[in-house]
Amino acid sequence: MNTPPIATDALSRQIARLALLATGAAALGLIGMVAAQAWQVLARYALNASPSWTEPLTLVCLSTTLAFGAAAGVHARSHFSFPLLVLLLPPPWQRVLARIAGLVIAAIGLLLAWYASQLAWDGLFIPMAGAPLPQSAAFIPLALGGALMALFALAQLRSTEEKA
Amino acid sequence: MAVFLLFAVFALLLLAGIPVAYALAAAAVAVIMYLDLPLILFAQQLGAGAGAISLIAIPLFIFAGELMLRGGISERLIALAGSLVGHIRGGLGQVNVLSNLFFGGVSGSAIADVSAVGGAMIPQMVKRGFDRDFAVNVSVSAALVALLVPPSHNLILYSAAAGGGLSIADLFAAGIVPALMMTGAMMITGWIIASRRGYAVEAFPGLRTVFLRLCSALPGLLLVILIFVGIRAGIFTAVESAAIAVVYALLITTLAYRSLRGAALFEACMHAARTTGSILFVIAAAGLFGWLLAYLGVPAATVEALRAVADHPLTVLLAIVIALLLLGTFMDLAPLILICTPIFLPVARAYGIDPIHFGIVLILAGGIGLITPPVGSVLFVGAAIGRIEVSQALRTIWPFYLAASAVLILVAVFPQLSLWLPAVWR
Repeated sequence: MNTPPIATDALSRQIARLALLATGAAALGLIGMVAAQAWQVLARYALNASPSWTEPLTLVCLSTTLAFGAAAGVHARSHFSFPLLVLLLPPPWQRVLARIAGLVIAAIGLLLAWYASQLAWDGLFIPMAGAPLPQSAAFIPLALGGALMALFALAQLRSTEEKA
Repeated sequence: MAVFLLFAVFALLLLAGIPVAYALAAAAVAVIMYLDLPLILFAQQLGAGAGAISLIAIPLFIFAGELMLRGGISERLIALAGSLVGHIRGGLGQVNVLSNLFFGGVSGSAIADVSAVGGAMIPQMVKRGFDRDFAVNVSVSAALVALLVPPSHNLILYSAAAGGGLSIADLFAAGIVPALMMTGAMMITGWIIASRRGYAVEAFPGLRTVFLRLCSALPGLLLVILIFVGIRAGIFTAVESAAIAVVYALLITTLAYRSLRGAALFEACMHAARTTGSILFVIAAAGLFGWLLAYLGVPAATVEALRAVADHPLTVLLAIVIALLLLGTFMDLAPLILICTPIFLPVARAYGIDPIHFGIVLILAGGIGLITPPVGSVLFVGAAIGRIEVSQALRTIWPFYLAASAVLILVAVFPQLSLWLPAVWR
């Protein structure tokens, strides 16, 4: 795993702060999953009750960790890739492929943001079975995470262009 | 045509250096557009890809692994392994293998595991006089041992990719004998190479030291036992066992060892969140890719194609193993499991191969693919950590590779090796 890049100008610093917030949101999702599942075990054996809200809440937390963690991964350039062939190419070709990679990530992020928002809106007023949450709660973090992925990818493209 | 487009776009983007998750997602988007399906399916299936309840265990096991690694549990397990096998010829190489057996793949990615464990072990081995190529080769090969041991989550991923109907307790039990065989094979290979190269032998630290280190490492060993026994006895589900593992690791590292506090705990949570997010996104994108494969009828077509050329289950299994070895050279294990299970499991079932046995073979073959010369991705990570050229590692990795392949063939040919223990414990 790479460490996040060091921000130099004002915009990069804001982006870095946003990436830190995204990582924090992903960490909260992770802690939420642990808390909900641990409570399920405790309630079953200590209180002789099986709360129904733990599973749907855990799935919302999972979606939060996935979306914000993946967005933070774009900023930290920590997503798994196979750069072997790229490294064998001359530097101008490497820059071209880096631009294509940035654009592909941004496009996927925007698509996710757009369509996950639609899905989130469609189920916003329908109650979820087992928990006092909207049915489409899991799509809200996906929409936000998608937007952040696009933003971080575009910011990286900008810094690549500046270096070139 | 759509199937060709799916694989062609994925392969092209992957070779262009685009991260695996985004290459999978972009290939799926291209095919959805080609088939004129509504693009909202992209977000819907991506959400569904990571929305299976059994997958929740994965981020939690990664979190537990992170706490173990940063909170000193792994360090104590390595120390115990050192006192048990450090005096055998090959010293730290043997410790490396045994450590992987003790605490499994900690990060959820074979590539990240070699970065984490190899990053600590390779420099230490070089410092103690081992050749760099030996240190790299033993580290990348030792990662194979970890594939089947909790908190490594590969078997949970396989169960989810198989439709969630396979018992995780049975899968965990089925992995024990192959993991022990792989441990033995790697330790013997390390011993032979170390003897030939004349590496120095360290003194046995004495039974008192072994006992003290065992006491110190006991909470870490109990964690693995807790997961096994808890699921097997039906006390909790795999997901709950992962949450219990996190709470347990947190209590041990903060209250008993007092090694993980304040900033270190915060950093462990943040690092686990970043790692988990990346891996979950690969899983979600692979889920989307897998859904398209099913929509396009690829699993059924594969069954038909293989029926036309092979009639014996073993021939089919070996053909699948070869395909997995090739795919494993450029793909990390998680997407490999998620993409290949829906394609190959129906084939295995059609030929009467037990799905539990098939899962163990699939994970072993995919794992060996990661170290297959000349392009295995884990091999490159190991060489980078050891600061040697890949060609240097390639010249001497063959004994480890052959030993691992021998274990794979034995496990593939003799289903009893993986099915005996689940039957005994059922």
